[in-house]
Amino acid sequence: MSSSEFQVISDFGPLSTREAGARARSSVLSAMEIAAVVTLDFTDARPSPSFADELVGGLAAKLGREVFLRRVRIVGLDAAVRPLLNHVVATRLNKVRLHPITPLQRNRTRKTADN
Amino acid sequence: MQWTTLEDVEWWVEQIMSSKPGVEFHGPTFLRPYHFAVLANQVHRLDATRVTVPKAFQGYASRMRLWQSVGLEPPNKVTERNPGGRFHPLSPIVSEMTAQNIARDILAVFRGAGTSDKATLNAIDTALSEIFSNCFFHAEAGREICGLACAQSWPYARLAQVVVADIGIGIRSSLGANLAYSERLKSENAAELATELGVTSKPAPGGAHSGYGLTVARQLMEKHGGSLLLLSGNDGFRATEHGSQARELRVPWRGTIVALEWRTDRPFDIGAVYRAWPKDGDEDEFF
Repeated sequence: MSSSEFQVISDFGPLSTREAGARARSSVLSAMEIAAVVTLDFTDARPSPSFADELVGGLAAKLGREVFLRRVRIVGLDAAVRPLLNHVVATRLNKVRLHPITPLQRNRTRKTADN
Repeated sequence: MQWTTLEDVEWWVEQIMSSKPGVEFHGPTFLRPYHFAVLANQVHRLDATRVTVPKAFQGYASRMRLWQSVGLEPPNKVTERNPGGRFHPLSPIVSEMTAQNIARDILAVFRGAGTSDKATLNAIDTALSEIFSNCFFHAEAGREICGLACAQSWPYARLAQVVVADIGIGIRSSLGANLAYSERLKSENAAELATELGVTSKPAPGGAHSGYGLTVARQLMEKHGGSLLLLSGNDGFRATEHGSQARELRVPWRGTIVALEWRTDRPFDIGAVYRAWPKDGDEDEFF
């Protein structure tokens, strides 16, 4: 298995919307189908909380703590962005652990998807 | 130049809510973005076909696209001026992408006003992107236009104001969809509650939101000498570096008004906001 690398600022910009963050997450998950490790290079990237939550927080929630830390490398982090990424990952992992989706939420999600 | 207070916006909402379609409007002698945003939203709500403002303000109102933003013809043609460095006219938010584009265009106002520090521009961009996206995702106005945003910078006073307002369901109704807040909403100011980190009507994993937008805007303003004003329904809230004020409004605004005001000669550091967020010790240090 090989490794894969994304330059966040050029491969995923603009780094402000949830939609863009979700698209970026899909790209990373696709890359992970053939790469053992995916590197996200955040050099010069200043993502919004929503983008960071969708991309990095979403990856952590989807993969789980162990797989996320083993297969996703994050480099080039600015000192201003580091606490944001730590926060979105911790929050998403805690939500997954502490607040599993309830049947009521699941039904609502299905209804929304049906619409 | 005075800062905008909760009382200022409340007074304006009272004037606007008591006006009728087509009735001539008498406003204050100095207009700010919130005046235009509230008025345009009310015109939009009433589907009014005519708005009359005092002659002295017609040119300014037309440049701020008071009529054009809600699909009306302005009363007279005005010469378009390059707004760079001074203002951004009323712009409708109809998608997440338009929300981002308006944020980017407003950023150009501040570049034009002489703000060149990258960290400051990024912090403004982040706060605006978040609150404009909030409008798109949470206003639920039931119309194509989710909300209207505009901005003004006063270089001599070194002050700026950005406003986004909508005629949607309001914060209380929006948060009420999340059963986790049922108890708190019985006794707390919904506008203040919405600025708390992690408070959202659509939480992950069932929803797709995490409650960052108003928190980032509030904390950025508090840490850097600015002000956040939030009015929704009967809930009014203002936060500054000197403290916060939450109270019931005399007349409800059916929708939400968010106004950010800040000094343009002070740098912003969004990292200071993120670093202040709580964490569970070293376990939360992943990077």
